[in-house]
Order: sequence, then structure tokens, then C-alpha cells
Amino acid sequence: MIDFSQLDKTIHEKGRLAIMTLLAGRAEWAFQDLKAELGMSDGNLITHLRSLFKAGYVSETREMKHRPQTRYALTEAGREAFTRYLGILEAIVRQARE
Amino acid sequence: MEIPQTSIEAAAQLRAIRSLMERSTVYRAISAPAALVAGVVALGLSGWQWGREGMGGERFMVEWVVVLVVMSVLNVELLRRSAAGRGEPFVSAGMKLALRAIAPPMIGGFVLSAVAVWRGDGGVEAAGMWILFYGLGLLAAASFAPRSMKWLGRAFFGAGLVCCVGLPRVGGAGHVAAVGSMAVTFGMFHVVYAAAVFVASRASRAKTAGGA
Repeated sequence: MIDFSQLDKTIHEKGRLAIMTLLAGRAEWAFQDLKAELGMSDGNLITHLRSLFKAGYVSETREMKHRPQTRYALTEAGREAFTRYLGILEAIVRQARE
Repeated sequence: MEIPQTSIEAAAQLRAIRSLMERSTVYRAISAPAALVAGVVALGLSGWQWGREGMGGERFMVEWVVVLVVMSVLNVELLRRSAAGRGEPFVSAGMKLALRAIAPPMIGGFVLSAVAVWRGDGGVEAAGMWILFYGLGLLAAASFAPRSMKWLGRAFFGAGLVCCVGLPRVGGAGHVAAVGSMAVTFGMFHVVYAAAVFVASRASRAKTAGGA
């Protein structure tokens, strides 16, 4: 029996789920692009990214071009966690249909 | 995205995830209304050039470049309005990605065609290169473009190859080949693309309304 308690609590938050969704669709995202796409404030986005980084779901690359830029990507653990999260949601929907 | 409590909400959550993923990974670089206007203008210019067999390659190129600039400005404005309507930033990550993919083939095609015309080759050389490189540009963005744009890219690429190797180069036949190939590709292909996008978006809206 699959239920909502099996959903990963780290991903299972509106802002973090949106970040994970974007990161799952592309190799990496610059901080400014994530911010523009999600319409989040700097502080909010940094807090969520920090939580995902601590969980080992997101990697961070800092580089210096004409100005400092931080890029984010899903780690292997993050991709697996996101796939598992989607799998549970799908299983819940499938279970309800049967 | 709300936290789901029921299977219905879980299904809605999955749809929201899919929608966000598509929005961030699929970018339509050519708006359908701009493609329709560009197609009609291209057909009009082709009709106007059809009987002017004496026109040189330079004249042929200048007239098409003017159309290109005007249509590009229109496309940018329509994309800006469309992004504003969806509440999304105009210069999005998708747009940057699309520009990085599309720009090199477009610039390459423009420079090579300009050199060909400057060396005294006819308009058919320039037309073939524009069609081929425009197709390459669209295909370069294929990994994050909607399906209709991938088909447009394939059509231009195929037609470009045919134009570059299979069309007459000189005289009246060369002029007819240049103008005709521009009418078929930049004219008709764009009109068909716009029609396909309109039909698909209408079907999508009907499906959404039916599902609501």
C-alpha cells in the first residue's frame, strides 16, 4: 500500500519541488535563471537550495566570469530521489484508479 | 504546487510538475503569428521578384535581408507579448539556450551567402544557403523545441540540400529556382507551420476545457 507518508519530505515542499523539477530538465541552471524562472526572492531561493545541497540532492559550481556566477545541478542522489518521488505519486494515482 | 492529500491532488501535482518541466525545457523560438506573417510576406516578395530576371544577386539579397530584419523584429515583439501574457520573463533561460543554439548556423549561413553574392554568384546560391542554414539552426535547437519546430527544421534542411545541389544556377532558370525555392520554403513552410501550431493549440485548449 503506497501513501503520501512515503514521499520524500525534503522534496515535498512547493519551492523545493519546483527547483528539483527545473534541475531535472536541464544539465545545470545559473542562480539568476532559476530565480527568474521561479519568481522567488534571493533569500527564499538560497534557503531552498541550501536545504537541497545539505540533503546531497544538488551540487553547486562557483565560477568567475565578468562577475561571480553560481550554477546548480542535480546530483545522482538528487535525480534518484526525484524519480522515486514521481514514482510514488504515479503509484498513488494508479492505485486509486484500480 | 500544493501538497497532495488525495489521489486527485497527486494527479494534479504530476500535471503541474510536467507543465513546469515542459515550460523550462521546451522553447518556441518562432511564434506562430510571426511565422504566418513572414510566410505571407515571403510569398508576396517572391511574387514581386518572379518576373525580374535581370535583377542581380546583390539586389536579391538586399530585398530578402530587409524582410528578414522586419520579420525578426516582429517575432521578438510577439515573443515578448506572449511571455508577458504567461507572466514569464521575456529573456528566459529557454530563450538564452535557443539563441546559443540557433545563432551560429544563422550567422554562418548569412556570412557564406554574402560572400557568395559578393563573388558574383547568383541569388540561387544565397537562397540555398539560407534555407539549409536556417534548417540547421532550427535543428540545433531541436532538443528543447516543440515538435512542430523540429519538423520545420527538417523540412528546411531537406529543401536546403536539394536547393544547394539540385537547382539550376544561371540565367532565367537560376532566377526562377532562387525565387521559387524561397516561396516554397520561407513562404509556404512557414504558413503550414503557423497553421499546424494554431490547430494544435486550439485542440489543446479544447482538451483542457473538456478536462476542467
